[in-house]
Amino acid sequence: MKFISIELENFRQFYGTQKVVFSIDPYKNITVIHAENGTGKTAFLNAIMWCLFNTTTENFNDPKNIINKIAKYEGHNGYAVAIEFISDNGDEFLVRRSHKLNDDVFQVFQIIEGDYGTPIDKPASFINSIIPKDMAKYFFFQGEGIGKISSSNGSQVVKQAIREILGFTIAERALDDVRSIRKEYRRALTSADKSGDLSKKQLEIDRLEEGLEGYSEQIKKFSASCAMFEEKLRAIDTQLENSNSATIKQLHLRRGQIEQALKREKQLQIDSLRDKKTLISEFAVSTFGHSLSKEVLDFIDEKEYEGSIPAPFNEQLVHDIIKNKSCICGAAVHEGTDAFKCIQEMLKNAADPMLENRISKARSQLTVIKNSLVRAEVSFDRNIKNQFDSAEKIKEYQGKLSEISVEISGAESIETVKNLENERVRLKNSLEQDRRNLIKAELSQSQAQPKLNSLEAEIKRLSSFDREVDKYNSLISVAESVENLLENTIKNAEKDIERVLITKVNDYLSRFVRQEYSAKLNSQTFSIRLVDSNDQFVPESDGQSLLLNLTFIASLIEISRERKNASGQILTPGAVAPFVVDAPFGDLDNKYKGHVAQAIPNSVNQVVFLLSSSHWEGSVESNIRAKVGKEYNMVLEESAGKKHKGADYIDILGRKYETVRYDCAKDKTLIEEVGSYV
Amino acid sequence: MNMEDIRNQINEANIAFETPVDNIQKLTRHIVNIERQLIYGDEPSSRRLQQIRVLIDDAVKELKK
Repeated sequence: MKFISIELENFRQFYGTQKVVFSIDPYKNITVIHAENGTGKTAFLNAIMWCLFNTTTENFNDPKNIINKIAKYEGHNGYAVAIEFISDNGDEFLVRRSHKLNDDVFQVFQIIEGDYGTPIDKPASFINSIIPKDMAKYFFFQGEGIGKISSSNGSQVVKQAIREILGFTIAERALDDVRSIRKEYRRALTSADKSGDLSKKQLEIDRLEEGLEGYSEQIKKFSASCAMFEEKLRAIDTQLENSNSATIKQLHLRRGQIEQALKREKQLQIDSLRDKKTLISEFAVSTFGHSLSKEVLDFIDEKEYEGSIPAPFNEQLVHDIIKNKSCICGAAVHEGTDAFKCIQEMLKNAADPMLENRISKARSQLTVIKNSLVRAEVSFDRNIKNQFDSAEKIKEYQGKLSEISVEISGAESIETVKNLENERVRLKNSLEQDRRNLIKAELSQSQAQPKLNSLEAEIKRLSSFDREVDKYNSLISVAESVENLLENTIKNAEKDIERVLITKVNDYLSRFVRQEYSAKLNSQTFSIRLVDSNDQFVPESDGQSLLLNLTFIASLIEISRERKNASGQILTPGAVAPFVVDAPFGDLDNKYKGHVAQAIPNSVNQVVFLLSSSHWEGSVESNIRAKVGKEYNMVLEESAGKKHKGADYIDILGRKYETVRYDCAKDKTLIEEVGSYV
Repeated sequence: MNMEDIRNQINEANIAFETPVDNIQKLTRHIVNIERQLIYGDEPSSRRLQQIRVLIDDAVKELKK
């Protein structure tokens, strides 16, 4: 999508009808609109937002009062904005929104050979299919409005931007609605149950689901707060490491080493506890069965001594000889003979070989049990010693850390260090507290989920006996399948996005920033910070923060373009649209301004820069001049006299252009063409 | 197999990938469309839950056929 033109009619400062024709040239793709503060840059950007989506930016004051004051005074009661644009497949359209008294008229027409046909049905749907309104704010961008993405609320900005640019808005809404409908079905199901069993189970399910939602929220909350505390601690550590005081530096360095040692020791302690569990399961039988095994082995040994185990004769063989009346040597053994009596006597000492085999096996098992007790004793002793050593060392390291903390915060002459240290202690405590909370919530969640699954299975089983109940069960099952599909689609789309986004941001940064800085996205808090080559946080200047914002927005636009043809039909596809940016270079120094101004038009199809002279002057012009296709100047016309005020001009291509005119007939802003270079 | 054949196969695979493979996928897309009409479009929000209920109901009937 590219804008062809915009026509403003009595919209804020723009009295009467004023038109801007944009450059749609593929190479000279920049339209520059010069405007000093208060002239109408923000109003111009908002005219676009209002026309397309009936919405305005947050910094647009008094959005209910859009009509131009002079026009209103003269008896006009309406205002309008019309935008002509060309779609990606080359079709041209006119979109027009007008407001008269209390009526809003919104229409879109296709332009065929210069003529407007009948209005397009469902114009809002049509415009949103070209550029979804939740993505539009990244294309029609208020340079100073987004807030610092590295600030305390920056994480929310980043998180929301990622979700919007990935087209989650609709899918998440659908997920919420299907969830609430599924809950309705569950309630209906329990009402349909005559026995009351289902109601009881459903009550438990409701309670568990509520609990699980709570745990899930808590896990998110505590994960984010832990990550935030860790980040703040890292920032404080960086400051202490760079302290001017050699003593503080030394102490902090020592603390770092002890903290590392403490961390290792804590891990060793955890490993020992884990080993203890393994030892218990490995040696439980030998420990608790030791007395029994000893007794049984003694018994077997005694029998061995008596000669009954192993038996001298095979019981089956003796029986066979007696039964067949024939010895294995072939001699006949008749009943009543001495030989027969002798063989019969052998039965007293004969045994079943299978039984013997079992006894032999039992004996070997019991021997293993008996012997492994020796190993068990050694292993348990070692484990107990390890645990004891770790506990001692942890205590020792913690003591040393407290001493260092007292030493650092006791450094009398360095107030800042004292404050930093106190803050550090506070953050450490909060971090520990939230880590414990996190573990608790994770544990509760892991315990509740299997209970819920079993209750749901039970409800399914009970409800299969009743037709009405079965109906609701089917509805619930389908609703659950839809929920799963939506959740998985979102989850899959989210996969890797942090990596993709940060790669893009860093790609832009490498072109803009002089130092060896890169951006780092914390996947828990979603905050983006600059780090140096040693992975240490860099305290950002206002200019660097703005730079980070711009690279972030440029990266989002790139992702949106890449998602343009996504047609999974569940997530909203991305968009290709003009980048209209109001006051983009606020706090950037000259060199950054030039680099950014040069890079933006190379990454989007069409750019509209709304620039005050402070943004324009310096290196911007030289960097983008070759790509400027159209250029305008907003002139503020004042009915008041000039009095002692000096003349205001802007220098463009060596020529001076007025930015303010006095003693004019009406107070208004005029948009005047400076040049067309296409 | 020439380039054209390979291209055709890729196109077919793409179409197959985008084609709803089951009723749940089809139903989900319908529900998403209802929401899309509401958030981006020109439809009023009041009937959306009712519309979704009808879709789920129809899907259950379809599954039981």
